[in-house]
Amino acid sequence: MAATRRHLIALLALASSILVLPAVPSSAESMCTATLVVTSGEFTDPTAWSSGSVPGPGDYACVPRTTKATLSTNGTVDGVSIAGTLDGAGTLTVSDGGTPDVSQLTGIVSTAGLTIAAGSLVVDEAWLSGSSTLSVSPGATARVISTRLEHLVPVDQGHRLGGHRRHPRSGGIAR
Amino acid sequence: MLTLGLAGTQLVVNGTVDLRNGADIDGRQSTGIRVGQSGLLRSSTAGQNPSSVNAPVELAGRVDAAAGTLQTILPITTAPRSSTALLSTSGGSLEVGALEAGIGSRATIEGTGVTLYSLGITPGGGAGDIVVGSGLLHIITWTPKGSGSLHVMPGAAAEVTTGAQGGWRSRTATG
Repeated sequence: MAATRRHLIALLALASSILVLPAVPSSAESMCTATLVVTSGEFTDPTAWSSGSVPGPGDYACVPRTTKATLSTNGTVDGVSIAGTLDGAGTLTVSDGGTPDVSQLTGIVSTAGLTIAAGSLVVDEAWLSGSSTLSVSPGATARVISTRLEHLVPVDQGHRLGGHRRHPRSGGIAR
Repeated sequence: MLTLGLAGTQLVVNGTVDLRNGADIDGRQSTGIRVGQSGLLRSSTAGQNPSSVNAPVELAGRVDAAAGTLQTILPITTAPRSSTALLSTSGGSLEVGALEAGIGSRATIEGTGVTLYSLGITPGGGAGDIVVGSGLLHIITWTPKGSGSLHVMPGAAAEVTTGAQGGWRSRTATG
């Protein structure tokens, strides 16, 4: 009986966490006006994009998982979803010039720069490598989330089961 | 979760970076996080775990625990000659691994629920000051050096749990 109740509570907690955590829109593809259609390509190569043109200030550019866009010069887009890799020496600026779409970074930014000049960026399980810089400009917001953590944490009758983390300085349980 | 890679990678915050539901930033080998004067790095919603920032932070703006617990593991250093660095709580708890006020700079601490695990002032002439502007500041390890001061403003308090040494103008005070 108690076990059934615990399972029910855990199930409800999981369901509610899914319901209240839509920070990464489930259908980024639907927002894409330009999607990288090659495994690896130059950002400035029109043939590398589904739109047939280089993504610009009016576009929501999408770099799918397992693909890589190389940005050799600076660029500007309205929004971006990077699930694959953005590399190169350039900086991609997200201007959010009117479309109320949230940009997403769930992949890798390597060497390149990514500047959120306006609007919002959701970051989840993302990496910056090389000498890359993620810059959040005044008025812009980056929301760092961890869906993996949130979905794995069980709840048992209101008690935390794994919510403690050791503070390296104190050697004790911080919280 | 946002991971910053090796030296050269950095997160520049001049807008807002929200850590939601216990999300973390990890970048112990990175160049770190630079929070500009207009920048805000905060835990905005509480998670089952604390939000952890494990990267060096250079601070001219604000680090705030708005909800839940925000831990910074590596040192927070005030930006050179900055007087605008602010550590605060506005609904959550803030646990700071180390805070160093550099030469000619100042860091202000506001709100209850701020714990410093190590507090230092960089050696050298004109070393910076740390100001407790409001609330109660808990200091776990006090390892003062240099010529800066800890100022406790009227209505505020600082409490040292262990490790008090000489070198400060005042050790424990209630403003």
